[in-house]
Amino acid sequence: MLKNWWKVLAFLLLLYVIAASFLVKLGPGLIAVDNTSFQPGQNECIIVGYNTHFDAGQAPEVYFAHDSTYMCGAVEEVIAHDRIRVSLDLPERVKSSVFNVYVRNTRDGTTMLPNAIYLEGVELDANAEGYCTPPVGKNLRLAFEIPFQPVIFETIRNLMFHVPMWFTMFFIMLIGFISSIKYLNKPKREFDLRAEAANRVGITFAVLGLITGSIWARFTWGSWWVNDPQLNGALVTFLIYVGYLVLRAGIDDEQKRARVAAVFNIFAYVILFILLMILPRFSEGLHPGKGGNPGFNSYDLDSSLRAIFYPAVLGWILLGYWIYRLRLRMNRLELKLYYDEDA
Amino acid sequence: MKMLKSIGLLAVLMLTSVFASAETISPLEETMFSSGKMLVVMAVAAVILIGIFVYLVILDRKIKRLENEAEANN
Amino acid sequence: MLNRIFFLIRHEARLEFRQQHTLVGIGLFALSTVYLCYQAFESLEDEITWNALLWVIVLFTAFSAVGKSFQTQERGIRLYLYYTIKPQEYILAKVFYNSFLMMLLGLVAFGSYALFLGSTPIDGKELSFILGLLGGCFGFATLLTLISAIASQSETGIGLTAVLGLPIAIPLIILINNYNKQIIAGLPLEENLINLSFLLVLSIAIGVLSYLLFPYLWRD
Repeated sequence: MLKNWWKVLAFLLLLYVIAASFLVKLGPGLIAVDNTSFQPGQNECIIVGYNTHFDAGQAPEVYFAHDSTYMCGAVEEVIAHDRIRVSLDLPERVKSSVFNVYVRNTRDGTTMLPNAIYLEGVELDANAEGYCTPPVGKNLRLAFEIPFQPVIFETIRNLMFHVPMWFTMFFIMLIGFISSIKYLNKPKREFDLRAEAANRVGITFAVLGLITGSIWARFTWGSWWVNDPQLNGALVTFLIYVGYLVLRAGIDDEQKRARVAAVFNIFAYVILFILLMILPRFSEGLHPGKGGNPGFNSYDLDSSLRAIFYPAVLGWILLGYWIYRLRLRMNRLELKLYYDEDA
Repeated sequence: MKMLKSIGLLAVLMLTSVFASAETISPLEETMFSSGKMLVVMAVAAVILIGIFVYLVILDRKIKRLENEAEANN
Repeated sequence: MLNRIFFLIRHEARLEFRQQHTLVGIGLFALSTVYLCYQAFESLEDEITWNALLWVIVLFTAFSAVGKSFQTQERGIRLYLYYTIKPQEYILAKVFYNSFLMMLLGLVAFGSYALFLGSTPIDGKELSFILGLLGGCFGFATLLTLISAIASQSETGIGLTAVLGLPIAIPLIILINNYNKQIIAGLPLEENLINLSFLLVLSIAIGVLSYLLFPYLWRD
């Protein structure tokens, strides 16, 4: 019915995504503990939360946990909605020297801070006593909110901006890849125009992905650039496709240029596919999903995040496709103008 | 009470970045880490918006050039 | 088919050895680079620098040795080959020949490097290190064979091989580097095979792609 329905869809999706990414509240979580080294005997610390409601409903319960063994802390004082003072009577013999902190209350469910405290001057003993058993209860939260993650905090919203850039790039370069294959099968000028337009737009999205990734990395990992398989792959992608443009610029004969560029494009795309899709899964890095980092698939990408993330991916891909169509139409026009013939 | 708060805030600043130790918190980081790193999200969204707009402007100018040439040909 | 590939490899080798200046030139290039590094560093205490420097030398040797493999052809020979053999056989022969050549040059570079700058970081682990070196040379050779075939189609000339080849060489270098770091750190070969096998998989993927794509380049 409506010919350009997908453009309307892109607009509506991105409108929803941008609104939701900025308006949906981040779930509760723990940010920090002010005293990180505990000694045997009485210890006190202040636990700082984010978007928590320690002062609402029943007083929160606190556990210090390692694997499935727990030490129960006592809440001394609820200072504010995001701040409680906690004490712990630490025995001399413990099972581990690093403990996570869990805070549990009726409003927020269970919130956790991994590796929050380090024990000093204790003896490690696998059979140590002094543990308690926390009451088992389902941690059901039905609120529509973005899950809290340690260290990244609100920047988890970048999932809706930074990550779809790579999906879009891959999708658009896939169009270029298929066009190149078609060109080698049947040398029609149209396929070459498509491949060129797709790769140019793909490079744009690669650049956006690189810059946004760099900003995100700076404020979570502490450096503008880190040695990570995904980042290496991203940079290599960018360089290869710039090489593609250089290659095109170096050949004057039109048919030869189209053919050689198609060969290089197919080669590059397959190599990149191996590089970006297969290799990172087997090597260590800082990105989620490998080398001890939790994957976004496992538990972080919960249903409310999915409800924003998937539309975001589709929306950005459609926008990218739109830009690609514009570029392609421009290429065709150029051809018509200079050579006075159709593709 | 007030001191507690500032201690808490300092702890937040110290622990928000795993790799940066307490001494290396730069003014830039202090700004970006405030309000749960929300500014980082703003920066990322802005970069994408600006990037796409710049690309569209470049495309626009190229089309303009084509139009001019088409007119000159006729 | 195998017969013809062997014939082509022999032909390439004979051509190369007849015009000795190219091969000798590349050997000289590797040797003088090593000597330059020796003059600059005197001795290398740092293991990582030792490793990095060796691979930079090997990589650039590869670029100068394999990068020109499609540029030196005379037009007459090219036409003759075009009408007598299949492009797939030709590219396979090229890949094999370049791999052998590159492994040889890699060993020469490594030998002279070890002679001048010592080989303390890999003492007692020479065999697994040389295995990695040969794997790396094989990877570079397969990659650069196709890339130089592509680059030779352009009028820009030899510089294009670097522009197109270096980005794709980065993943190979990362894999080799991981492998070597673990060798230097003293990890036994069995626990370190993953990097080497990925390198091999990537090289073979490049080889298969060359086999499939080269016929489209071979059309003048």
